[in-house]
Amino acid sequence: MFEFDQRLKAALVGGAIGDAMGAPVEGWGPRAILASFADWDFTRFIPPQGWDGKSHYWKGNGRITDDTLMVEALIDAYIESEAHLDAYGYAQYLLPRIVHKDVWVPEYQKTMPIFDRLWVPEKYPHWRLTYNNVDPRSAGVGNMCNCGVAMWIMPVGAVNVGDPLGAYQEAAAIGQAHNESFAVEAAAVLAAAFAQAFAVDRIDDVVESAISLARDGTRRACIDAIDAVSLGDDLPTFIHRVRDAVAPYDQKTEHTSDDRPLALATGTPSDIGRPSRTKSIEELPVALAVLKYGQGDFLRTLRAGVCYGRDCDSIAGMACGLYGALHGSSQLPDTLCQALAETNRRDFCALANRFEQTVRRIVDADLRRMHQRTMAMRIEPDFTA
Amino acid sequence: MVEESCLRLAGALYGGAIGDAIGAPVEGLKRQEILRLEGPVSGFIRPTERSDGQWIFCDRIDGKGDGRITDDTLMVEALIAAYLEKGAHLSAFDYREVFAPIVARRMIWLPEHQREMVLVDRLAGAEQLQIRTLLRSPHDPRFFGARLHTITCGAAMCAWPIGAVHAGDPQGAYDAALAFFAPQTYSFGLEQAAVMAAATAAALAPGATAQSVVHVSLSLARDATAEMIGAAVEALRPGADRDTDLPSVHAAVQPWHHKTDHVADHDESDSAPSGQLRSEDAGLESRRHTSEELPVALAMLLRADGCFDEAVCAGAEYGEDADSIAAMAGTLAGALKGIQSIPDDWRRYCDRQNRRDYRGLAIAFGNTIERICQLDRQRFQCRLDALAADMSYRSGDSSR
Repeated sequence: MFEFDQRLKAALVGGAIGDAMGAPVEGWGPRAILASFADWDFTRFIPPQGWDGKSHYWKGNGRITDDTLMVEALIDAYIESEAHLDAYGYAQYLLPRIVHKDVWVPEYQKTMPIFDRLWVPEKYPHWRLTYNNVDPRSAGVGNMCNCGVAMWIMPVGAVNVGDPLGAYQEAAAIGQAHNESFAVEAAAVLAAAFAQAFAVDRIDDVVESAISLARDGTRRACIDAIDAVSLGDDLPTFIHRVRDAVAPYDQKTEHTSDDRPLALATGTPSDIGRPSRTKSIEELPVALAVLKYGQGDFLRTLRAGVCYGRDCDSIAGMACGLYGALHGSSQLPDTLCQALAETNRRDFCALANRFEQTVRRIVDADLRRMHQRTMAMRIEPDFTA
Repeated sequence: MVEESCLRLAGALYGGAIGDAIGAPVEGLKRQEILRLEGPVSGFIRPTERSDGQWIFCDRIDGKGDGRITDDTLMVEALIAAYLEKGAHLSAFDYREVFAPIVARRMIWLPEHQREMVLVDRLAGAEQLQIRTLLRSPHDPRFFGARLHTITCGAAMCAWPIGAVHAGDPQGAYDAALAFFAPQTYSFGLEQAAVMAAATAAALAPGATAQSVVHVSLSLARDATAEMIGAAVEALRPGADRDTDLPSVHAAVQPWHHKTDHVADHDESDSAPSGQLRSEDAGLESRRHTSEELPVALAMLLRADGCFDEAVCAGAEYGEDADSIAAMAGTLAGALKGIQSIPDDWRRYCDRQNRRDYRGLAIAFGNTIERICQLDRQRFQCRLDALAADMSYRSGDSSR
């Protein structure tokens, strides 16, 4: 069993590796990725694949994207608050960091607030909270439901290490400031998965824990995605079967096919992003399936997450983050870890160390609260570790 | 749950029911009207009615008055029933799947109507609509409260059982109430419920006082709710009588009161007897306005130093939403001092008039609470194990 500090470091670095590796092929279909990268040496980062004609930033060569930038911001928020967070905590600690704090943004190659790097739905909370004075607990209502909360939720799992229900509840409380419906549900389920992953050794325990707490379409999508995993399948077959399993839950399905990026003509009626009890984000169930398919082999996990395509930076980020929480860092290639640190000008190990101290202080405070409850119940307190 | 904790739980249950019953027949009246009708409130009040613009007593075996509980206590009973049914913490999904069906479908003896019926039919319009719609709605329960059309104190008035489940942990009670009532309300309606749950958890802690309950409430409350509580308790004068304190508190809470028209300039001559006009923004979401029931209840608790009789009767005499104010004050006073602080004959009268056995209910609820706490201890042990920390904790040893 690995120590928590190793797991935390590996979750952060592993997640960043997945994000950075998947980024240059984000939006591609699996056929196109496999055609180019089936034999890629995944101990090296995929380089930029050319300017996509839309964005102003360069993904590739190990550059982290908004997923990891938001993870860093949340860790920072926890370090400052030294307490559990909720919707008000989002407004007080996280939002100012997103909007005002200057960080080195690798894709833009400059120091700037991460707000300017975020996609539109992730800017919604700023409008709702800062300009429109909405109560933080309902600020997320009306947003476009996507993976924009789940993609940075790992730290909530860390703070609630060993307590998936607590992680689920806290992620939902934080997430309400940002989004609603299945976007918040996915974040809650993934936080629970991380909380369990930090505490156990078996992939199946993580998956079971996540599914047991999940609700509605998110739950069913996770169940179906996991059921579609057959360890003996080759990579293209795995990808195909998992995609088939999650397609019915994906609001984009009717508008797109495997290898064509989503490009709706203006005015096309669509339910993409609308709240739903039957739909799910795609990234979470696929990430769980990738984790299972990876069977504790980091490169196999990374390759599967990236080659799935579509939102593969988030998928690989989630899957590899979970990998790290479960299995630690022994299989994380040195080449990737070094390139990651250099390219992004980050010391992820130092950040993980500081965060770990914060997690322990939060648990300390929770221990005192638990003691107060047992005193109120007149039960003899006898916690030992 | 050991004897002493159970006595305080029973105190909360009787305290809330008695407060509700005392305040109910003078709900909606101004304090001056109550003094004219009844004089200073000192116990249960007979049924009242409005006749020729005046409030008078009447003889009836149904309706408010004569110790009969109202929707406040009925909703508390439903929430306790939900906990008994689930045997675990209640989430927003449980609100929809466990609590709402109890409210909408379980037949209970309803004292004001003197017959068996479902609770939902007794609820006020806004709350009735919310629960009925929720049960038919495709919306995620966690976000349904934000689609509400009007905010009331309907969540705060029945939130205290959540505090009891988290006795000793006000932060936990606060968070749990926010999660549970999300399908019912939002904005200050949700905030009030969370603070009431936290206040109850604080009141049930060993060594709790009226001061500690108010202090905890202030430390956790947000926005206008925090400000109104602060203003209400600041308005009290040590040793002052009701004639001094009650009007003072009433005036102090106005700047944040959601029902008060803060905009219109009105002529003294054509204002209502209370001197305020009802705002068209009443019940609208806001971070600058809130409702007065809990802040006033806390003030009543504080000025009575937790003494049950005075907290409840002064709360009822305040008027306005008198049943909710007296119920909340009674709940907190009863939790602080236990069932022993409530006059025996009041408790017997309450059980008899409502055909209830609140002592039995408190015991059953106490058993469930203890079970939930044990489950939480097991969950917490998993966290400690995962951190492999040297965190052995002995009674009285708060350092590591």
